[in-house]
Amino acid sequence: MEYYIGQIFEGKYPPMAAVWCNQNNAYIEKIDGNRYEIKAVPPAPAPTKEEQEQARANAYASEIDPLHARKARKTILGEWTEEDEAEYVAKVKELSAEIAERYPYPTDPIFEEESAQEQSKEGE
Amino acid sequence: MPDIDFGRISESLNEKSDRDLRNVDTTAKADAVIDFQLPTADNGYTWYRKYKSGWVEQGVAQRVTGGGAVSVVLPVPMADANYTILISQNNSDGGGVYFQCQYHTPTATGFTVISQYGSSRTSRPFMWYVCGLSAN
Repeated sequence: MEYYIGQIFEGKYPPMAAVWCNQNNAYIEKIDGNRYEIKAVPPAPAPTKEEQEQARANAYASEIDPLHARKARKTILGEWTEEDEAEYVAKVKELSAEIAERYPYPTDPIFEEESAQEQSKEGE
Repeated sequence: MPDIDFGRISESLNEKSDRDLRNVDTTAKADAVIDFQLPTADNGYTWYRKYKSGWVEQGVAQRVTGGGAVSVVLPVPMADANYTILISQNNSDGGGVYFQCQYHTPTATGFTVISQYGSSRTSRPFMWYVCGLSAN
């Protein structure tokens, strides 16, 4: 039997319809007392700015903080060299850019406006 | 004394208990499986056991993969959204922090699972098991 989005079953649906839905990003909804309809799973909502900020903070903590700790330890031990410093700065910049790209802020105009205002304040 | 073929009696009883359950006395607090599905590749390794009383157990016998929120559709629809959902998350490769394994928005026909870990929200395979009263 072929299954498709919008297909309606009376009374009950065959178990294989559930299998098809699980494999095709669809779900089955009870539309009234005794009927079921196959529907497409709607795309997930974009993460909010707060969620992205938290994700970035978590990534900084797990990926960049160890670099700071290494620098602090080697500095105390007198083992921190200029080469280490150059490598450290380059790595922090690289990871920061990568994390920002991984968790972009929403492109909603309201956020762009906020971002512009923040940049303006930083420039003052 | 007549010869009794105990082998044939045993066969007959086995067939009856395997196939014909119409005469099971439900007042004796016994329930009986009236339909079932075993997990195979064709059915996505889903399985179920439906009982005469309306009770149903169902689940998946293979890890489900997918990123973010994964929609699970039940092979057997439930009477309503009030049923038991158990989810287990696979962590065969170890490591990781900030584990998350939750279901949300249960309906009579399924629910959504979020199974992931770490700040990058890497998805984790999971398995599910459901039991409760079926719709039909």
